[in-house]
Amino acid sequence: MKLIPILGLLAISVSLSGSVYNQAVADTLKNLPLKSRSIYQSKSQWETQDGDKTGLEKLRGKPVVAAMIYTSCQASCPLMMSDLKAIEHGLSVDERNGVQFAAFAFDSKKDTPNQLKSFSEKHGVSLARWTFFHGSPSSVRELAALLGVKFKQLEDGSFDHSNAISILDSEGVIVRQQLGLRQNPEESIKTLQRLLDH
Amino acid sequence: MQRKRDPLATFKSNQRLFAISSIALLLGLVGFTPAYGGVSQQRFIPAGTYVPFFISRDPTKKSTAETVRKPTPVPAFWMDSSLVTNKDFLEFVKKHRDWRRSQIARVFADESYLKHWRSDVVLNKPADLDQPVTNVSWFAAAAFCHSRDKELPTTDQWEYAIEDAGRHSEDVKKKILSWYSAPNPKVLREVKQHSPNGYGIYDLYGLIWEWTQDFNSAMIGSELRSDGTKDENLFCGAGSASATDASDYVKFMRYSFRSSLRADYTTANLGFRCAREEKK
Repeated sequence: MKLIPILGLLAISVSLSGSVYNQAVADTLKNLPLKSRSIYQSKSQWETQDGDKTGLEKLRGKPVVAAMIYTSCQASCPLMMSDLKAIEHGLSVDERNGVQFAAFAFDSKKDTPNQLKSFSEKHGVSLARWTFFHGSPSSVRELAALLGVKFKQLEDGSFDHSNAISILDSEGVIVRQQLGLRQNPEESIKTLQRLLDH
Repeated sequence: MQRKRDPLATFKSNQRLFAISSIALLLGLVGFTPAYGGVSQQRFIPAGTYVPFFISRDPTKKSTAETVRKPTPVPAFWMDSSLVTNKDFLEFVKKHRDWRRSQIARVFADESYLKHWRSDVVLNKPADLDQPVTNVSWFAAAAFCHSRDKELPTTDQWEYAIEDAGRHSEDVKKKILSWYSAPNPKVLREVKQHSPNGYGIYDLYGLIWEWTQDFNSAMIGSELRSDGTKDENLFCGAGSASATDASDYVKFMRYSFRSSLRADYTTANLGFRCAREEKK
């Protein structure tokens, strides 16, 4: 039974000219059941830099570059942001518009939507493509578990954390992870281009 | 062109769906058993401190020599005296269909999730009821605890509980070592067959390994170099240097076991219990 609407959609998408991004198709796709391996299965709740309350499924529909950040840290976060931007800059303007960047804050206390907003301004990123997410400690813990990110809050409130950039397909399935900082972004860029070609 | 769907076929399939769901509903009603008295008892564990296996890093300093060596405070909390059993977990999946073996999203548990059960809501044999549930992922364990208004214990809480305020520590260490060296049994024994520790908690060792809420806070080597530099001194590469008690092999085993886990992993000797912070 599930196959029939999918086949129908395939017929529609094939009949449309190649890479044109079609809102109607995207909207219909969003009504199909989520894939079993999609991280959007998570019911965790978040708030964006603009204070909008949302679930992860908000990201459904376009490939996503996802990472966890910590805005008051001195050491690794500027590096994490520059790694993310390196991926963005490796894409053509057209490609960039087909991709979303999602940065999730570790620090539920300090990284409020307001703080995330000014962080985004400081980094001069386009909020048309980028979203910064604030969540409760349990949302953060669950997302870290989904992305395979390890973290620990230290006594002074700062965080130690591992660094992973996850590339998700338009359904929220992790297709690639770039582990560690200052990695060559080329493979991640290629992965995104492959996802956009589909 | 979207293929046109035969309205009769749609009606028939809807009808079939309706029949299936009615049967499922009936079965669900028959299978439902009112909450029994077996909801795990909780024990109060008073506040105190413990010294974790790995000392925490002083974020203002860079080298191991300047790490903080003071004990970690643990606020008072409540902990289940018993591990969660197959019976408890069966009750949970009966109410929460999403966590049944055939329904669970693959992102939340790997293929061996609850593989020791006969089917979604049937165990292999009644004798399994009081064994600790295993083959459960971190996501499933956390969801179970949430359904009872609890959480998984933090690693600090769990380690503090097994430390048992230092009671019989040498004896306990010996027992843990002999458990580690014994092969995994084919059949797990039932919970609460041995005496509890001083806090009234059963089976913290000798039966299975346990999930903690922040199992993913244990980092090894490069993972912990938050500034991306090669400071090999900080972590496990220099494990013995930063361990608070290098001779404490039993703590080290637990630490490295947790750091090897992924949240969707399930295995035959890993289960859990729940805990709850003391309400202020």
